[in-house]
Amino acid sequence: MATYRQVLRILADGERHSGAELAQTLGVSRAAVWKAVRKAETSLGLQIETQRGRGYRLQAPLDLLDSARILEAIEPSQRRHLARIEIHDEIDSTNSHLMRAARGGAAAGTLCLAERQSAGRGRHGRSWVSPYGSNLYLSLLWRFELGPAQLGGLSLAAGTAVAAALSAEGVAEIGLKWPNDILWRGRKLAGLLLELAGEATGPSQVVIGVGVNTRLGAAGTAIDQPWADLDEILGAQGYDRNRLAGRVAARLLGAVARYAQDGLAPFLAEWEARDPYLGAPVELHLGERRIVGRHAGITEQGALRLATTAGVQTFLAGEVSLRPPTGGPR
Amino acid sequence: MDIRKVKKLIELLEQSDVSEIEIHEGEESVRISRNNPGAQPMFIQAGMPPGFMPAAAPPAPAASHPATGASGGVAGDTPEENLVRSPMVGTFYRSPSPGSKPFIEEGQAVKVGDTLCIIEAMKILNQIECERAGTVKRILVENGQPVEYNQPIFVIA
Repeated sequence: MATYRQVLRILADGERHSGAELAQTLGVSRAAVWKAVRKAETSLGLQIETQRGRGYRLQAPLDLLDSARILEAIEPSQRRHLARIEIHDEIDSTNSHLMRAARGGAAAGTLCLAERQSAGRGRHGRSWVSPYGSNLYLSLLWRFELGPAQLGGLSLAAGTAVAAALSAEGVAEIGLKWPNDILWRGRKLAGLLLELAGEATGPSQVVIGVGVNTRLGAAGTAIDQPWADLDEILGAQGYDRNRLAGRVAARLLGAVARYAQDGLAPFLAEWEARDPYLGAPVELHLGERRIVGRHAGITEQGALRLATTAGVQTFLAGEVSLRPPTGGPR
Repeated sequence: MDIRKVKKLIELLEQSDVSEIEIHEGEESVRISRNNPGAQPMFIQAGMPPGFMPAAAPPAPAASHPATGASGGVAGDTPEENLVRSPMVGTFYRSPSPGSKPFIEEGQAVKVGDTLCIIEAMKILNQIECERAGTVKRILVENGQPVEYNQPIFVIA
């Protein structure tokens, strides 16, 4: 393990550690410790307080990812669906990594997490802000016998799974905005990005990517929409990052198995129970077009039903966004 | 990997009916298998490439394209077997992200399994793969434009 990583493991507790102590524990020189600390700062963007003669301390403690603690949070009955857990210190994108791995034959049930993404992605091409050591960047690879056309509702099913995991962690007032934003009091708390490849008639491989904001801190200023994080909602001591990762993974594993059997239908009631816009007047942006109507529910294919003056229309595709008219429904 | 951690992982797997799992943390790997009595952990040396990355066998070519609809327009006089049609309603993207290099350009040779484009539907990014080797003769849709089900999107001959 690189020295800076070992140093970080020790500093993660947020306590002050002297250079001499670190050097002795790791069996390196004090100069090497100093260099490792600088590297952690410059390459990972962490803030480490340095006091001459007194040592080093992280500005805020880090709860680094730990495979045993993640596995512990997955119910024993769900663990058998996991083939592999990968935890990376840094990766371009957990989704991109698993899409590549899938082409190389990686098994369904491969779970990938990273402390930081250098090219985290949101919806088509937008970046997903991914600072080191906080938040969740988690992707799950799954394989379906179904073709891509039958997997259109999977992002909604995955959305209900993530909402349930957040709810189990203590987050109340979670909203699901069609097709897959996860909101807290109208602000973005988590998001999903699904990537899919396969033959028209199946089989398909799907990577479900989940980003959950736990602590955005200064990185939040780069986000161009209202956001929330778990530090704000539950307090920094009010959640456990590894347990949350395990719960999200477990719910996703349950959701993919259920979707393969029964499709989106069993998820619709839960979706609609968490959809704050259901029944409300909404505006739909479809390319240059804007369609105004009342949100009349979700079909079993995952399409949005919109009651317009021209009758009920359903919308599946395109760059569709859903916004309440001025003022918002709640 | 720390031996206490390996022990903990084994305990966790013993509580479930996992037959085998691989754990990778940074540069360290362990594979735990229950096929052997006592669930002996097998250590994989750090630095070894991940075990699941053999050269991929190209997927078998698909039997045929979906049914032909009214093709019309620019693709009207192109033999059906040379058309790549959109398998879904969505938005057509030529590159993995804005500003990055397109997956393919006209005149480029493509082989089975190459990614041709992404069609986004319901915020799912569907990678459309090449099912027949050849040369990209024409790209029929502009980046970012909506596509209909079965609409011709490429000519590959």
